[in-house]
Amino acid sequence: MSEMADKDLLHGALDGALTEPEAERLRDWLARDPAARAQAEDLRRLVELVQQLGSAEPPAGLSEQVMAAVAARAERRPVPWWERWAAGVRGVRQQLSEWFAHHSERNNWSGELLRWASGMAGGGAIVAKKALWAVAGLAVIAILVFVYYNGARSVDQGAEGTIAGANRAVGAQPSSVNAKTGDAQKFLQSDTFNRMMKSKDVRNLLANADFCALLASEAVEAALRDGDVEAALKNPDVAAALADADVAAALQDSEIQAAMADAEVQAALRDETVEAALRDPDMEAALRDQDTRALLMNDEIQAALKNQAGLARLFADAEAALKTAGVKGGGSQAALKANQSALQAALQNKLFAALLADEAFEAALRSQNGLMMSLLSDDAFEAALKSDGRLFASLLTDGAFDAALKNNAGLMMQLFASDAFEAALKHNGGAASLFGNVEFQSALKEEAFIAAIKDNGFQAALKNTAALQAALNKAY
Amino acid sequence: MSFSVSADEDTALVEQCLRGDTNAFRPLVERYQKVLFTVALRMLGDHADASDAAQNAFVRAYEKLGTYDRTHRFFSWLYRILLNECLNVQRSRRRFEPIERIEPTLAATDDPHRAAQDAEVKARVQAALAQLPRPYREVVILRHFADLSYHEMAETLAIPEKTVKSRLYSARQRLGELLLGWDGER
Repeated sequence: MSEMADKDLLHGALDGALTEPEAERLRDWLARDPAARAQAEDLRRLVELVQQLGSAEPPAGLSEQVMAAVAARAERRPVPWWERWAAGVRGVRQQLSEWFAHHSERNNWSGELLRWASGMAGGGAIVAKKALWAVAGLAVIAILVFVYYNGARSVDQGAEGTIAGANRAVGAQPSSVNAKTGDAQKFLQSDTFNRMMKSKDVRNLLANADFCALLASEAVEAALRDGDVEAALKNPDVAAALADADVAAALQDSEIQAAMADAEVQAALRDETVEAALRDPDMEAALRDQDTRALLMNDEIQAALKNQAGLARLFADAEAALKTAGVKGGGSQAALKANQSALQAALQNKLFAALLADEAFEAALRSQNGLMMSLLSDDAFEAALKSDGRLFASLLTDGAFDAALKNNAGLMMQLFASDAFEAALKHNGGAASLFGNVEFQSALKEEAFIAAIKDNGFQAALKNTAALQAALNKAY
Repeated sequence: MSFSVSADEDTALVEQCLRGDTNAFRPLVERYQKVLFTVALRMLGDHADASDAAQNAFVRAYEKLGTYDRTHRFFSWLYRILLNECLNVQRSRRRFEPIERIEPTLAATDDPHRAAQDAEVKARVQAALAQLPRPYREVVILRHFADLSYHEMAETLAIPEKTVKSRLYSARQRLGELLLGWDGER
C-alpha cells in the first residue's frame, strides 16, 4: 500500500468517499498498524474541531434585501437580446412540447406528425430529436398553410413552387380564409411567417409528399376545427415568442440550437469580457440589429477578422482590412483609402449589410472581390446607397436582373464596377429600395452569425474589449 | 448539502427568471442563502462583510443569469460569484483581519464556562482558517461548511479532483499544526 493511498484512505474515510473495498482495506490497515490508528484519530479530532464552527444563520431579511435589489435591477435592466432570444427559444420549445404532448393524447394527427418527423430523420436519436423540434416549431405554420391551401396543394410541386405559392398567398390575402382563422390570417401576413416560409426546413417540409398528404388528411382538418388549436395560437406566450423574429428564426435553425449547445459558444458567452462587451449598449444595439449581424456574418469580413485578428483592425485600419478582403492593385487601394468614409458609410448602412448577406453577393465577393471592393469604396456607390432613387432599385428588383445576379455573379460584379454602371448610379439614384426589398432582406442568414460567434477570430475580437469598443465607436 | 435533487429545479427557476419572472429568483435565494452566507463568513471572518458579500453575490448572479451554464450546478456558479465578491470586500478593507474582527459568540447555555470555552475554540478555528492560503481555505470551507463532495468541489473550483484532494490534505495538515500542535505529517 503506497503512502498516497494510505493518506487517501484516511481522508477519504473522513469525507465519506471510500468504496466498500477501500473501507475494507482501511479497516485491515488500522487493525494491524497502531501508528495508522493514531493518525486516523488525529484527523478525526481535527475535523471535529473544524466542524464545531458549524453553519451560520444568514442575517434576517437577507433574502428580502436581495429580492428588493433584484426587483430594482429588473426594472431598469435591458435584457440583452441574446438572453431574451435564448430564453424565448426555450420557452417556445416548452410551450410547443406541452401543447403537442397534450394534443397527441387527443388527436392522432399530431402523433402522426411527430412520428413522421422521427422517421424522416432516419431514426437516429439525436437527429430525430432535432427534427422533431423543428417540426414542432413548424407544425403551427404548417397547419396555417393547410388553411390556405385546403389540402389541395400538389405534392409534385417543387419547393420553389411551394414557396412562391405561399408567398403569393400571403400577398393575395385570400378572402376565403374563414373567420375562425383570423389569427392565422394575421400571422400569415407577418414577417415571422414570411421568414419561416423562406427557411430551408419549411421548403423541405412542404416539398415532402408524406407531409403534404398528412396536411390534407381528415385528421388535420379535424384538428383545425379544434378550438384548442386556435386557443394555442392565441396563447400570449406562444404568440409573443413566435412574434419575436429572433425566436422564430432560432426555432427553425438547428445550427443555432447546436451552437447554443456548443461548449465553446457557451464558454465565450460566459467569458467576463465577452459578457461585458455584449452588455455594452452599443454592442447590444448592434447585435440586436439583424442587418448588422448579417454584416458580421459575411464571409469576407469573417475572413478579415481571422486574418487581421479582430474586428477592431478591420475598422481601425481600412487599408489592411481591404487588403485582406482581396483588393488588388495600388490604384484601387489608394482609391479605397481615399474613400474610407464611403466604405464606413456603406458598412454602417443596414441595407447594404443586408445585401452583403445575400448569397449572390457573397459569391461575388469571393469570385470578384477586387472589383466588388472597388465598387463598395466608390463615392458613387455611397451616393447610391444614400439616395432613394427608383430606377436603380427597380432595375435590381427586376426578376430577370435578380436571376442574372444569382446565375452569373462574376459578370454582374464586373457590371457593377464598370464606369457605365457607376454613371448610372450617379445619375439614377440609389439602391436603398432594393435593399429594403423583402426578397433581399429574406436572404439574411442567422446561422452565419452563429458561425461568427463560433469563430475564434470573432471571439478574440469580442475579448479585445478596448479594441472592440474603439471599433464600435467608430462603426456605430 | 445535496445538489442532485435541486439541480433540475434550479435550472427551471433560472429559466423562469430569464423569461422575466423576477419572483422565480426568490426560491434560489432562500435555498442557498444559508450556505452562501456561511461560506462568506468562513472566508471573510466578519458577519457584516459576509452579509454584504452574500447579498452582492445574489444580485450579481441575477444580473448574470443569462451566462449561467446549465450543464453545471447552480451553486458552483454562484460560489464563483461569491468568491469574487469576497475578494472585492477584502480589497475594499485592504487587509484580511478576521481574528480581530470576529467576535466569539457565547451560546445560550446553563454553563457559562463551557460556553466561553466553545466560543474560544470557534474563534481559534476561524483564526486558523484565516491563516490558510486561499486555495486551501476554499477546499476546507467547501468540504466542511458547504458539504460538497470531492467531485462537486472539483466542479465548483474548476480544478481536477486530484488537486482537490491534495489541497484538502495539505490544508488539514496545516490546520492540525495550528490547532492541535501536530509536528509530523498526518
